[in-house]
Amino acid sequence: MNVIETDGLGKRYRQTWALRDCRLFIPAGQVTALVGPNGAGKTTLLRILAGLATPTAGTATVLGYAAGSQQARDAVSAVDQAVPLYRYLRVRDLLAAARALNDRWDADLAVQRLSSLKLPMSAKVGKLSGGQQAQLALTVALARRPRLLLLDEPLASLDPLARQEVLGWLMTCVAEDGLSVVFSSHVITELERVATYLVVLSQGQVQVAATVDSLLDSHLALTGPAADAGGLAGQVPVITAQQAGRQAQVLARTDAAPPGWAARPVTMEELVLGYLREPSARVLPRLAVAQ
Amino acid sequence: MTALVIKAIKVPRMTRVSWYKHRTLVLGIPGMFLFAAALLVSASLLPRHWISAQHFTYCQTYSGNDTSSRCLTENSLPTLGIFGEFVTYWRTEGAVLAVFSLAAVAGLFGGVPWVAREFEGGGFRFTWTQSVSPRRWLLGTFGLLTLLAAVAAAICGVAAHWWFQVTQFPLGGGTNPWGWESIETTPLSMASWTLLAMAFALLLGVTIRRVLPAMIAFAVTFGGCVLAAQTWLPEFLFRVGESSVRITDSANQTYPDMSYIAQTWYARPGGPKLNTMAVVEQLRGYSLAQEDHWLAQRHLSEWIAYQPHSHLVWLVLARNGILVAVAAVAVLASVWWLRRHPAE
Amino acid sequence: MVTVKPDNVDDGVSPIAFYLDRGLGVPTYLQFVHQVDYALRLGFLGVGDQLPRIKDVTRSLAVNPDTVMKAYRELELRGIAAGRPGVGTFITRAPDVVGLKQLATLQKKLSTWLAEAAEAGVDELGIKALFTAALRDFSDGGGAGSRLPGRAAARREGGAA
Repeated sequence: MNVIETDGLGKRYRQTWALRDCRLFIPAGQVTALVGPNGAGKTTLLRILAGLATPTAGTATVLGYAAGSQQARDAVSAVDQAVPLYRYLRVRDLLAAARALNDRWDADLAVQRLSSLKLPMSAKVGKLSGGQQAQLALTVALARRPRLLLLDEPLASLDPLARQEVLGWLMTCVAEDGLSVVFSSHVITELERVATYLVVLSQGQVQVAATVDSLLDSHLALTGPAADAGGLAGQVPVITAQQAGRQAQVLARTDAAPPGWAARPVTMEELVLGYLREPSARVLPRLAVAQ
Repeated sequence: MTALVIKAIKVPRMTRVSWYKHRTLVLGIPGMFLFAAALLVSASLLPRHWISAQHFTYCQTYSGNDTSSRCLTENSLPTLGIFGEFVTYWRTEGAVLAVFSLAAVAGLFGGVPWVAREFEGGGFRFTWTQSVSPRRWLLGTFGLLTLLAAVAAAICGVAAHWWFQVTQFPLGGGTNPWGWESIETTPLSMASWTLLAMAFALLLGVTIRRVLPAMIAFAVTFGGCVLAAQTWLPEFLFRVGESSVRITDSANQTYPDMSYIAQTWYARPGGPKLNTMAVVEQLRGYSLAQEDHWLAQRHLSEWIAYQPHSHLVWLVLARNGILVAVAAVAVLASVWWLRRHPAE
Repeated sequence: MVTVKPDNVDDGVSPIAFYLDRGLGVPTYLQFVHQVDYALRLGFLGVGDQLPRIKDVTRSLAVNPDTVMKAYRELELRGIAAGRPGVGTFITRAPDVVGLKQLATLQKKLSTWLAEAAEAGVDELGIKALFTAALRDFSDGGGAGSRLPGRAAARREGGAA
């Protein structure tokens, strides 16, 4: 079943459309990377899915429930960009408040994780460092035992070691509990390891929405003479072409190299960068298949 | 059935959240009312003790020149010495104003920051990614504070009424029961104004979402309400179901005691109302007998529109009912607004 | 003096632990497959040994569990490993080890070729490029299927070249 479905989703702030005509079908159990330039609509999309904003047009459903409904709120955890917490409470009071606000609460998980991170229970939340607050927010989000986790770049404030550890913990939750994750990220290098589904947003619209496997299988990095680069577009769908001297590097959506061109498998980095460079290129999901 | 049970369980949980998050306000706002009540009660104990110890009584009517009467009157104040000054001091309007303004203080410094800070500080994004819906959370926590404040305000109103009675002794009949001082120092009025203040705080906090602008807006709107309730509303409300009577002569009062005088005018039998100011100008300097003669010559009579004292209770009830109704509308508007703009 | 700290993540379930070489550009699951292969050749892994548990790999390397599962599936297709539900994945067969004598002969032939290339003026990078191109051509087999042993199953699956 699809963990996230949006149809014609749009959100307008004053005169500008932050999100326009979004169509997504993300299956369950995926770790979805949400990539795009700043202002592309990533935060808006995540906020709508979390129930923090209402769409201007179209619909969004998470786990089969309307986004923002009570059932969706129960099963979805979200950590917003601002890492929202009750900043004037102590950590243990925050946990107590979270316990009161939630039906499902794994107190052991929260306490164990915070003690392993050496986060003192008596500290004031507002006095913790940015990284510690991010860890706390993430702990609260996961102690709710959600089926879907939405993260808006909350790992940005973590040091490299902490980031590695948190990602490892998240991946284990995916492995053990079947958690689905959608996270927005600027770190393209870790996408191939961590993500199984890719969504690229550009100017408020969905540019790419497909599984990582299908993307890697269906694209090739071609190398060949620069003179032939122009003609190549007629033979295969070309995403981007870069010229370096007399050689051209081409990212193409094909599974066989055309004659005269050398092909090698493309890396996720190259693929994402290629599509980001060429906003008009699209890989869109087909119509929803009944699962 | 299960949903109701779950709802019932959630109420104490919301209480707990209120306690963790807003301990100071949950204690402070009702505490403010109760502290004022204690002050009022203690300020009233000594005068009451003195009055009963001196065997004075509270008299309905008094004869102005009778100094041997045991009725505590305005004229007996000089004989009371220092205590007379003490009692007079406590009669100042300022004290009543201070008590009355507690409701505004609760809304302005308690209610508005509670709601607006939740948005301004970003805490709402945490709250509304938990399992509780924004509406239920806001009503469960803020509603709790409002309930506590209203109850404490009612208690304070009882104390204020008790205290205000003492200040009426010297006048042997009290100030105008239709005046704002009498009406506002009652439990129902205090509770109604507190409910209105908190409801306005909720609405402005939810729509404006910034502490300082919301506080300014509160001061303007709530102040406007107070002004309207003390000036425009009584003129309109207190005339509902009024009676009119003709004054046969200046010496006799043909309307009941302690009535609310809505309007006086002069008219011929079956004729239109004359310009009162013009008539009064004409009668300037006349004695009562000359006035009666002048009016009889022109077949004019003085009329009075009044509201009997027996209606006071109902009208005050209606006045407070209007306040509560406006508060309810404000709350519904906040809930509606919250549904449309949950967390932006 | 450097102390070697044991990585206590997996409680010593498996003799080996995976690592990531991010700069390679090789898909992660293939890296794992190669690492198992080398470990087998070098003797760190033997038949019957358990491979690292999926949850241990995800925790220590922060990789998606799907990636590890893909690697183990690939190993199963090559006939090297097999999964036991609820227990783990175990090595079932060591890769065919070429006889020592044959290896020595092959190495001598290689040295001869290297000498020829050096005499023709090809430098180290040129030699590597020549060899990589030749290996790729041989491995592609002109579309008829790889002539390299162990790749037939992978070809059927349609895995990356």
